[in-house]
Amino acid sequence: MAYSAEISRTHPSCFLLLVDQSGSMSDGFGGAKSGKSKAECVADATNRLLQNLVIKCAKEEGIRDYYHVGVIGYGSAGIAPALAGPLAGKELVAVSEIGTSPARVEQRARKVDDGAGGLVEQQVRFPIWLDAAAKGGTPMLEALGLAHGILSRWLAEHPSSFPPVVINITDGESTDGDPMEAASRLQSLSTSDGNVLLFNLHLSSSAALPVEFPSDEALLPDKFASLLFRMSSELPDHMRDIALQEGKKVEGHARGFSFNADLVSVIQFLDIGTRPAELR
Amino acid sequence: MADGATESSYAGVWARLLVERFAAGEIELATAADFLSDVASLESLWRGAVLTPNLPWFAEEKILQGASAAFLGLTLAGEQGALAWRAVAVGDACLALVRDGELLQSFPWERAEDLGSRPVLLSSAPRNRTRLLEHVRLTGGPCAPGDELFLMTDGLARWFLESYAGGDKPWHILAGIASDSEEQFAPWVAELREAGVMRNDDVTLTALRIP
Repeated sequence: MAYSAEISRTHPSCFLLLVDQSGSMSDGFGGAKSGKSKAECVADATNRLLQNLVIKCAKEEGIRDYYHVGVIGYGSAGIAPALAGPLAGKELVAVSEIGTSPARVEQRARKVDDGAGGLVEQQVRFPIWLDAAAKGGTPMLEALGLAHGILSRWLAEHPSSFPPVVINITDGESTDGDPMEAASRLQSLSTSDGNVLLFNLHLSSSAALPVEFPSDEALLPDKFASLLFRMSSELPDHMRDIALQEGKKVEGHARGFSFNADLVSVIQFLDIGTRPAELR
Repeated sequence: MADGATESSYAGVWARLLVERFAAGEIELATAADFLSDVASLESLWRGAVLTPNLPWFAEEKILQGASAAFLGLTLAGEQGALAWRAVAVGDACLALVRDGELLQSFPWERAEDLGSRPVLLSSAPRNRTRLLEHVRLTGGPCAPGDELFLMTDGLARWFLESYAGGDKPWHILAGIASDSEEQFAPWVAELREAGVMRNDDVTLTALRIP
């Protein structure tokens, strides 16, 4: 059965983020009310994905290297590794390096359950690997091509691992052509356990309602969302099962696509050990 | 019996704390609310045991998320010949009561299918206790001489319930292992894993016979 390989330190998987840093990303996110630029949302989404992945792999003794991780930015500066700080310039690193080498760590406030039906504010440390950037065109086609190269090399060394997951975070407006074919080429790469999974997080200026893991493009608000939906892999069965258990409304053939919503939940769908159900 | 969840950090410390405090009689099981309130008082003990200065951000975050464990508690009270049992369960551990060679009750799960892969567990981080209340299961009853009680973690419980559903009497095997030698347990579990009838997971069995 595909997508059933155990993710372990001897058989790690791979997580590659493609981050749109083009000029259009300086526009506001999600309509007039948010007060945030798309570029800030992209940086937040990327940092939170990396944080959650690290936490997922952290054990008492430290971070287990269940994943190799890369962050590729695409915009006016070309297409290049986008991690800031000590990992600048690196294409793929072990998840333990991600955890121990953020560019900096900020303090943020977070509301948590106090156990008695209320919320209390908690100060937490918020590591940053990627800062907001927005300049130039959106060479998505080329970015998908670079991902193809990086993963081809990785796959040659890990032919039986759980297939790599690529998350493309963008406002969807590719300026170097139709990315559909490049996306298909990337998804045609595989290990013995299945094809590379390409998920897309569409952060738009549109105030349309967020959509998570749709199975039908008719629900989507514009042509960019439709294109990214068609470029997205279907969620493998076990990920869909976990999504259902997490209370997400996902139907058969749901795709790894999210419009103006949070894609951090994808990290919860990665299966590396027993995890308690969250109470809602 | 407590079984820590692998994905949380220091779940072993939490599981041990739950078992020690329960055995010391510090966790009430008169009502689900009493039980949860006593468990909540252990949260700070757990944090005190695992929070150390200068932790990296991810270790601190993991501790803020809390550790989780399945919990199954059993008490026996009264005089010999007139004992009563009472049990509390949260999560995917399971208790089987066998009387006169037949399964009288399996608690809180009756079918292997009930043991999902995402159980609700006891967490060391504050959780909404009002919502957790319905997941705390309590039961009990009189004991009869010769009663056998088996406390099982999820992997073993799943095997037990599947085997029972298939018409077998798996308690004979468990009683045999329990009365012969503890050393037989690990090789027997290894065999079941090899045969693909038990998942590769930590397995614990506690067996009691009422005199």
